[in-house]
Amino acid sequence: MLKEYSEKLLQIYHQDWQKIVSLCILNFIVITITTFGISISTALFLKHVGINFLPQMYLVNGLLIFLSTFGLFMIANINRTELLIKLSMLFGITVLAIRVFIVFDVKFLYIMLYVLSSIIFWLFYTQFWSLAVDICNVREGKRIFSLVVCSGLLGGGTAGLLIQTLAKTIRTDNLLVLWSIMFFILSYFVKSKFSSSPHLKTDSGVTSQVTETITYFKESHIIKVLMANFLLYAVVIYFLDFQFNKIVNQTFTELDSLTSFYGTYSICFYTTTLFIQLIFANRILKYFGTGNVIVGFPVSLFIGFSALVIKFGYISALFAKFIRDVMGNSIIDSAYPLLYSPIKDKHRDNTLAFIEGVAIPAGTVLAGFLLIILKSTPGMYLTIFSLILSLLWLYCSVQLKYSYQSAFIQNIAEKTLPEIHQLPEHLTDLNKKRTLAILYDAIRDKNDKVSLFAISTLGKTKDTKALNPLISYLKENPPAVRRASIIKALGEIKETNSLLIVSRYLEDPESRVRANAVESLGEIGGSEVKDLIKPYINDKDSRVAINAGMILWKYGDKELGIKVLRELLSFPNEQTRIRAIYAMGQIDTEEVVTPLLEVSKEQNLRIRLEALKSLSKFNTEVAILRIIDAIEDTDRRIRQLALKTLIEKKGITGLLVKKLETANSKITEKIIEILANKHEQDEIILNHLKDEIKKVYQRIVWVKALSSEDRTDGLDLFISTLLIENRKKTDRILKLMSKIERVDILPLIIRRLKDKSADIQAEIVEILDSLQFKHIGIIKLLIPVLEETPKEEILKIANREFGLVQTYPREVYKEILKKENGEWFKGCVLHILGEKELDKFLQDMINYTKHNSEFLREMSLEAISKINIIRAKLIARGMLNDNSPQVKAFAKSISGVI
Amino acid sequence: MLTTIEKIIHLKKVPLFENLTGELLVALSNISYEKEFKKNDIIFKQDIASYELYVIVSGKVEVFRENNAEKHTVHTFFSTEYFGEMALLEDMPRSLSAIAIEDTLCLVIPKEPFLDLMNEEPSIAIEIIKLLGKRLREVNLRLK
Repeated sequence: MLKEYSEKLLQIYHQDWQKIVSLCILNFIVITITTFGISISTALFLKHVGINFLPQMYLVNGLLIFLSTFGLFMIANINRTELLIKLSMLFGITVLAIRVFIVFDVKFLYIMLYVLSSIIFWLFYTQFWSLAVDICNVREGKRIFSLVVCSGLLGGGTAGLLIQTLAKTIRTDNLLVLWSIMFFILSYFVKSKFSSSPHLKTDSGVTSQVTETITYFKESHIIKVLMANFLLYAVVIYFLDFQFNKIVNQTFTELDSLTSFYGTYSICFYTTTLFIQLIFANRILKYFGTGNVIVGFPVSLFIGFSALVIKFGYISALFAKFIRDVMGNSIIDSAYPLLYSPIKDKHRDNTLAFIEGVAIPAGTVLAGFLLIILKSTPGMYLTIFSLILSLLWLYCSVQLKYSYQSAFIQNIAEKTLPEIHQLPEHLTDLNKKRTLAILYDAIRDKNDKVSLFAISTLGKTKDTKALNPLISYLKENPPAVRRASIIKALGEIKETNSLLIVSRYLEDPESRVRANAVESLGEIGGSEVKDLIKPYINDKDSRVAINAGMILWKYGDKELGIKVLRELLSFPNEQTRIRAIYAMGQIDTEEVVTPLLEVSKEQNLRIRLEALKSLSKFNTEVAILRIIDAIEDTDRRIRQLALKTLIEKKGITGLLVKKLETANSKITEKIIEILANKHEQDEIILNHLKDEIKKVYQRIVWVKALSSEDRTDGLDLFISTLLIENRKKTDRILKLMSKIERVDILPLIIRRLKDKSADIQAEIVEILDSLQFKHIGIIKLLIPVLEETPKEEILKIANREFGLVQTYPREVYKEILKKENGEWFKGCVLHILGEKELDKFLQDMINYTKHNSEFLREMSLEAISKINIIRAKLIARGMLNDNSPQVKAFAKSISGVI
Repeated sequence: MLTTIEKIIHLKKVPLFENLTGELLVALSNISYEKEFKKNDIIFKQDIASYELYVIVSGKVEVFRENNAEKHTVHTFFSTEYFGEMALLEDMPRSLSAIAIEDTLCLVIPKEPFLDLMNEEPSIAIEIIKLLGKRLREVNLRLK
């Protein structure tokens, strides 16, 4: 109960707990260590070395971090957790040694301590978040990271409290011992909890890794934008840091007072940040999205610097630093690791290391240089300069926001077969000698499929440059099938010079060559074509005769042309009839519509298909109505042809909308698909989609109800069917949305949804969540379905949006049987009712024994036989004359009649 | 660098793709990329994961198994043949290694878009099933 309440409050899911606990404890320890160290080392540095040397320290820090990054590259194949363990031990020992030697008051030790604390912060921060991003996908990260940050804030607050309490009693120097103990604790914890964490083993050596990474960096836009962003971030942050430390150093003259102040400050800012993090950060991140949240950071710095400009002093410096620290350690810290999610897995670590180890240090070094130059500048002017820098940073952050989104989209696009509807002939530029040479060889390939493909491509280019290779191969007397294809290609190119060559093949011994020669002559044209072709209406091969009839019609001899085609249409030979139907589709006269309509209703599938193909060339109402009816054809190819034709036809929306009035659910789906592809009637489509989404939620409600029942085979099958149908419906909704929204990424997303990878699913949901859609409401309703949203959450949405309430299994069965639902669902329910012997539904089952559907008649009889065998026998006797052989046989077996 | 039409013609020569329409061949050529291997270059290694199908444009490739530093050649592939298809069907590391016996040019097809293509054109899946059946039969014969 408490767990459920916590999940609701913190907006996390049940499966997140394990990762949350281990990452939270680790971050708590890490931030405690870093805050503790930075506070002590900064205080020691300021009092023993001096504020004026701080810019030089920025330079040294930047350079050292830069060098450390390359050190990390060299040991890239080392397991990350091993690295954390070893470094923790090393740092613990080093800090202890420094404590020992600090009694000699050597300035170098304080410098080393200050630098060490910065390196430790950078190292632990980057390694921790690398580990976190490896363990969690982008959606988990969005839910979990804000809580992980909270634990870090608690750690920071704890460190602050310890410093404030102990600084004046045991003195700042001795706090170093406590600091070293913390390192050993960290080492132990990492070893016990994270030893089995994922580690990407690479096969390539360091040099090739670095080269590959650099190539990726050059090509990736988001990385460039990230680098610019964080370079500016570092400059601005260190400008603020310098001004803050300068003012505070002037205010607190004693070392232990200064250390104590840092402790008090840490408590205050960590506590405030924790409060914001716990209550608001997750919600803000979810509502505004990662990109917008990142933009908020430079805005907060701008506000801080503005306060300093208005009133330069201790209070405004504290305010500026406070606002930066609170923003930076709460919402921004939660969003920051998510910025790396769209980066490819194998480059992610290196990118993080590069940003933290090169871009930020470069900014630090730049800040150091600028501060050395501007050291003597009055504070107010330095602040104004900082204000300008923060505006520049704001601009970069906006670019980062758009880059983040594009990177996800690019990731998906790279992994997906594109929705390109290009044809080879459109990509073939015959002006290039190389292309011609390739096709010249390809038409001669020993593989017939390759040769025919190349010939066909050349013809479809309709480019006269294709003539030479085709004609030269024709002269080599290739096999008949290739000859025929070349002749056809010459006709497609329509060059009058090839008339003579093609006409020679009118006497070819192969009928298909002669037929193509006739057709090609008709395509090429010319005054002599009609006379050339006329004799061939009496060719012994119907194919040639049909083509001749078709061409004669085109050249004015309409009566003769139609006569030939009608005669051949009534031939008993199927192939002849098909050719005649094809030819009728090529001539532009409504005279052929009536005969085509007749044959389009024949039982013969091939005839019906060809007739519909030919009818699709006509725009008369009768032809279009016939094609609309073909949506319901029993053959899939005919249904697909009808769909494709209706999508391409213009001016038929009225007829489609009229059909919707009387259509059943299957036909409605098809018509909606057609309208969506035509980008028409958005209102109708949207209403349909809302109904569809309601059905999706309805089924989830059903699944929730049915899951409480004792499982039977039938129930398992039914539940899995509901889930599969829901997935199909979701895909369909996305497909239709892509047509309405005209967003290219949606079809690619649908393809990727088939992947079982949780990471890909998370990326897809992140894209859907961040894109701007016209009809965002529908997408927002789909996201909980696509994500692993807990069922309770989905039920709430179902109730809020559609008025659906939690129900019981028997209500589910009743609803499915009574209302319009698919035959399969009803059949499943009848089967389950029989399995569970629910006699309450007996009358419904008896009613279904008279249903139109043979499947439902059989299922209902089977169910009755399980509940009341005597009743079943009686009913079965009445079904012995059923139309369906299946039902009849079953009724016989039940009734016991031999 | 191969032009689109060169890629398309070459893919058409591969038995696995010979029944694809022009449109699908264009889509396939768009998702594939060229990779050159010098003689003795390792294309992929046994027990290391990689997820691509390789189509040989020119050259020769040998696939082999390594057991305790001993090399057992399993098969040699030539131009218009393909290899590495198992990686597309399962999320497992490679069971064999592949090496270029001479300078070789391959068209590389990544996993996800290839699976998308199989959804669009089931004949590809059928061809792969036939190939797997053939290999299984060969293994059974060897075992006998």
